[in-house]
Amino acid sequence: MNKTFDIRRFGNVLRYDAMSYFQKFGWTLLILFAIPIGIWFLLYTNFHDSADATGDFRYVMLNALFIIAMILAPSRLYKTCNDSRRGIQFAMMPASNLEKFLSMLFYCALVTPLIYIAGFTLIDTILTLIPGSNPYEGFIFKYFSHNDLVRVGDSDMTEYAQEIKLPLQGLFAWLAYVSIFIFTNMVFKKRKVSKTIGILALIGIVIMVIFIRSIIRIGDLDFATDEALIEYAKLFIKRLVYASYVWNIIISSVMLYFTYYKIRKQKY
Amino acid sequence: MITIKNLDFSYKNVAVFKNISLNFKRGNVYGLLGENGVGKTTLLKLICGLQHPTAGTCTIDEFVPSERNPYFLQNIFFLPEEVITDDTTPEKFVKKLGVFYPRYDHEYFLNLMDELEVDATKKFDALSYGQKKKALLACALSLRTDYLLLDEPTNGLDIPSKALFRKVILQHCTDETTVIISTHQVKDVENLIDPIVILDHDEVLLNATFEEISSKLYFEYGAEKSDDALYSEMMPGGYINVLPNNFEMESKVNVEALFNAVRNNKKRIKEIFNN
Repeated sequence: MNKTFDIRRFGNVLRYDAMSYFQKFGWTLLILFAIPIGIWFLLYTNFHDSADATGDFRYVMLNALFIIAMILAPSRLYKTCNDSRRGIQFAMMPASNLEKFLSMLFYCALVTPLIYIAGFTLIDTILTLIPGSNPYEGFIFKYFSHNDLVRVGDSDMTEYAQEIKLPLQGLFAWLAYVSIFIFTNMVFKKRKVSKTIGILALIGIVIMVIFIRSIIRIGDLDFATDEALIEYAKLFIKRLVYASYVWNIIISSVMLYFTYYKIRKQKY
Repeated sequence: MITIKNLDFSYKNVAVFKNISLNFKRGNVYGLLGENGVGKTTLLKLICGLQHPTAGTCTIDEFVPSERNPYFLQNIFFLPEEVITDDTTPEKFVKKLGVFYPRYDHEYFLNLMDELEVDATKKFDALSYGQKKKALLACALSLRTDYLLLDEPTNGLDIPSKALFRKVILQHCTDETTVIISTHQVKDVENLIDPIVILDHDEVLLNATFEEISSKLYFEYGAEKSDDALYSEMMPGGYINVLPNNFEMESKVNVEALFNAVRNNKKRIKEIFNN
């Protein structure tokens, strides 16, 4: 057997984590599943005449709650990993650091989204099937095939951005976002989620300022024709898409590497 | 065997150990004694890889604990002082953990739980502090690891439970096992531990078997306080005097008196035991 990775041992780690999954994350999932039911109930009891909650609205709700689930998953499932007292069990578990890390990634980045999307879709479908003047119209899973994780709008430039889509772009964007929360869960001891959101908000403000300044600079430039302006804007978007693609790959890799490093070097 | 060589350890700028060396051999139940804050728990954590030495080495058989090799981890179990349990039953808890330990024995666990009089199917939350401690001890023993590190295991146990604790630990011990018990409650483990390791701030004051101790020190139980004693303490019916055993007389080691004698005569004790 290999000391770094052994499939049987990894299976045991997955099983170990699975056995406490709902114990640690069950209530959070229930609350997140209760929100769409609550909204449906409010709409059902207050509006009787027509369908009010379009698929678009519910799809946005799914995305918003999905993001919350993803933010909370690491801090709920692996809250105590870096705790000097409660983390001893995690550290002393006879499995390699790589196996523990991969199991963490598996449950935070794969199992949780799948459970959440499956659960939400199931609930939404059941609610849609309820007879009477149902505020829900159409099935939500129809939207999965032609929507991004977060819809931006329908402008030409958005369409252009769709045209220059790079391979696995969405996956890397999502992985970057998940990996940040997995990493900060290993770094912060308390108020893990609020500290991470605070830091991300600060970084977001800085990026936004840079972005707005760039837009203003473009606005100041003189273009001979409108076509030239559009070409320039397209080039700008192309660079932006490429930069964010590379950035997401770097962020995902760096965050996940440092999470693994932190698991290896964590002292208790 | 656990081998600690020229080990330094500090928390930030506070030195806990300076150049300490000691061995823990198989087949023994070590008593790790010391005042509050001398680093008993830290030493246990260094041995099981939860802390990393600042300098020097700590090895267990061929493993470096800080690397947390899974083969090393499946042969060692550390039971911390603080009782931290999952929201589950002891039986489910140990079953979940047992898959990682090749010698885990579920039947043995159930027998131990019976012996310690704890219901394995009750949730940890429904158990008293002492029952939780006993349940975790049964879990630890049933994993059948060669190295078992217990930090203050008798804290919170009632008198009958302390006797049961000694019994199950003795049953557990074989020529292959090493048990290290860190404790303040010397009397609870007096007939269990041998050898004794006494830690002081940043050094090891004593690491000796009862045989060595009684060959070097004489524990005199008399009516009078001895002037030559390294340590004297009043007790019902007279005094206990700890004296250098210059005449190779036999006596029963009193661990509490030994501890105080060592604590009060650090240099002298080192001289006696190094000769």
